Amino acid sequence: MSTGIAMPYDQRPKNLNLASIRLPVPALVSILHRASGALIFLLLPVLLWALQQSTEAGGYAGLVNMMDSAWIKLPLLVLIWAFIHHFLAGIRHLTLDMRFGLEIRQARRSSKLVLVAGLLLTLLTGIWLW
Amino acid sequence: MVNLPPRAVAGAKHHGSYEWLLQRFTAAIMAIYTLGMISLLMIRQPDGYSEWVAITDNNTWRFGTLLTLLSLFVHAWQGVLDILNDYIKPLALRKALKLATLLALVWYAVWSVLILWKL
Repeated sequence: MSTGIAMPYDQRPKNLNLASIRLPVPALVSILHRASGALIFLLLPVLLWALQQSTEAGGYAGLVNMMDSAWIKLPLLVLIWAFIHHFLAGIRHLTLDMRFGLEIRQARRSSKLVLVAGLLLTLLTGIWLW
Repeated sequence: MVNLPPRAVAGAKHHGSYEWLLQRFTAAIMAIYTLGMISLLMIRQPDGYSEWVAITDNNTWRFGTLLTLLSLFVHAWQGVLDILNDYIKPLALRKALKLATLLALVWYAVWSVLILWKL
């Protein structure tokens, strides 16, 4: 049973001004986990198409050609970030499931680690690819 | 375990523990495949089409990739359902988007087989 102040359901305070909400880092990592997942889902047909292209000599050469363009590199780097962030945030989720790092200080620290490591690994992948 | 009231969500057959497990199981398959594939690419450093074919033209790679792609589609189904349930309020629209998502994912699964076996 809740011990909070009884308040009619429709009179509870709401704060849906997104600009005024200061998101804690764990919440930021969480919403980016969702956003990156949505992005990967929306790009699935493009990724499958690319896989299909890579199985033919001509298509493979076409993909290699495309990778030279900055207009492809930048969106690709965003997609790579989405994948890495989703991966790391997912691993963090699994550790939380196993009840590691549930204390607020540890949870904050691990979320910062996910955020920074995601950006760093994206940078390294970019350097590795080009 | 937390004691939940029976059928906390109207029409729910259970409390989502099956979905919870499936989401993590499919994630584990994808994580293993990803790490394996990255290691393979780092070791072999394929340069050009023929070296890419050398990696991908065998049934071990095909079945591993298919298993991972199917895991991805199941994982995405749960994730998209969560997003639609959270943000799309009109029931008819939500149902239509769920159906569209399901059809797309089933098509991706068929397409994956066609791609991997060059059918």
